[in-house]
Amino acid sequence: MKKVKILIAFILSFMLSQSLMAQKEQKSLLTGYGFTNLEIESDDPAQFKIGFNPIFLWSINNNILFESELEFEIEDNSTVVVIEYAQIMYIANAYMTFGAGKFLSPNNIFSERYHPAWINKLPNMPLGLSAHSGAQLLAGTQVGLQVRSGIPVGSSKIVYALYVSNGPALIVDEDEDIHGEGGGDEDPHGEIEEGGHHGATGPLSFSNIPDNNSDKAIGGRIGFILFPELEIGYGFETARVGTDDTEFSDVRSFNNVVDLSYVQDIKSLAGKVDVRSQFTWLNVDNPGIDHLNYENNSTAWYAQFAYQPYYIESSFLQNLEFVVRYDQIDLPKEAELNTDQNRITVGVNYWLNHSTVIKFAYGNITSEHEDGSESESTLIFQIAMGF
Amino acid sequence: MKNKISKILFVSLVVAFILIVLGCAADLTNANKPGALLWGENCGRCHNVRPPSSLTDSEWDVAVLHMRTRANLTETEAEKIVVFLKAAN
Repeated sequence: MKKVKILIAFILSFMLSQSLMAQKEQKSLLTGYGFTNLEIESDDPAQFKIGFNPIFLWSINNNILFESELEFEIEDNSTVVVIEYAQIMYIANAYMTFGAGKFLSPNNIFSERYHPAWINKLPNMPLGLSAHSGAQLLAGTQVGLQVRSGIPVGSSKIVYALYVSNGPALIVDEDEDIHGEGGGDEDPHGEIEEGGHHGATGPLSFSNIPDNNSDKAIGGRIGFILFPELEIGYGFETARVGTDDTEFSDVRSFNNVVDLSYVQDIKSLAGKVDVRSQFTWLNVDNPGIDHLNYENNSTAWYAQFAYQPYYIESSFLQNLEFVVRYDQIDLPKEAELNTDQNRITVGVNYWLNHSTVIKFAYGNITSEHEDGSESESTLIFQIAMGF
Repeated sequence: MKNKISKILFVSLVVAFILIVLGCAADLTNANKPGALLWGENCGRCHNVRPPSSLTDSEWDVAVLHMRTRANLTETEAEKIVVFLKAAN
C-alpha cells in the first residue's frame, strides 16, 4: 500500500512539474452525449427515461490531459449525478501514457469504447456488463493507476493497457450491500452501471470505493490490430476480493476477456459491416465455507452484427442501420443469483447525422429457473446524440 | 488456475511474435499513411467519424489528445490526424 501511495505521489508531482514548465496555452473542450428512451416491457408500464453525460477535457500542453465524464440521470424524482470517470493522463513518450484517477476499465472494450449511447448500436447493454441486469462479471470503471499506449508494428499495431486499482469485492452476506448501491431494473441505457447485488451472495461488487481490502487488483488488455478493420484482444484482472479480517479474506478472483471487432466497407454488399463480440469468464475461489461452498465460475458473452447500406443511392436507405445481437450469461447453479439468461435483440437505427441516431429495438430474453424458463419481451425506442 | 494463466500468456506471446514478423514484412506501414486515411481507419473502428468542421482547430487538439489516450493511437497517427483535421477544417 505504501508503494502505491509513493507511486501516486511521484506521478502526480511529475505531472505537476511538467505542467508548470509548459509554455503552451491551456485548451479545453466540452463534449459528451445525451439520450431519451421509451421502454415498453410486457409486464410493466411504459417508461420514458433520460440521460445526459457531459465530458470535460482540458489539455495543459500536448502531453497532459484531464478528462472527466459526469452522468446525470433522473431516478425516483431526483437527479442523480455520478462521476463516470475523472483522470489525469500524462503522455510520457510515444509508447507510454500514464493515467491516475477513475477510468473506464481497459480490460473491457465494450465499457471503455462502445458504451456511449450514440456509439452503442443498440439501446441496451450486453448481459454481464451491468449490475442492473442482475449479474455483473466485469467492472465498468476502475479507480487507480494505468499505463497504456499503441505500438506500431509494420502495417499492424499492438495496443496495451495495464492497471492497478481497488478491485472488486466478494459479497458474502445476503443482507449486505457493500457499497450502498443495490441492483435494480434492467439498465437499458447503454451506460456503465456499477453496484452491489443486494440480496444475493457469491457475485462480485465492482463499485470499488471504498476498497474492502488492502490488496490491489491488477489487470489489463493487449490488443492486436492485425489490419485497420480488425482488432482482437485479450483482457484480464486478478484480485483478492475477500474483505480483510474475515474468513473470506483469502478469496481471489480471476477474470478473462476475449474481444473482437471488425468494421469494413464492403462495396459488393453496398455498405458497411460492423461485427463486435466479447467473451468473459470469471473464476472466484471456492472458500469452502457455508453458503459459498461451490465452484463460483461464470461466463457471459455477446455477438453483434450491424449493417448500414452506405453505397445505395437512396439517402434514406444510406442512413438506415440494421443490428442484431445475441447475448448470454451463465452463472453457478448453487449461487443465489443463479438465473441463466439468453437474449436476442434486433434493431433498426436511423442516423440523422454522424452522431445523432434514432433507434428502435426489440429484445426477447429467456431466463432459466430451476422450475423452468420464462421469456420477456421489451421494445425500446431511443434517440441519442453525441456532441 | 496458474496453468491456465500460463497457457494464456504463452499463446499471447506466440501471437504477438507472429504479428511482429508479419507486420515487419508489410509494405504500407502506418507511418506512410496519410492523415485522412488514419482518421477514417482509427475513428471509424468505434464510431462514425466527426467531420473536420465540427470542431475548431484548438478543440481538435484536445479531442485528438483525448482519443490518443482512449483509442491507443500512436504518436505518429495522432499527429497526422490532427494535421489533416485542421487542414480540412
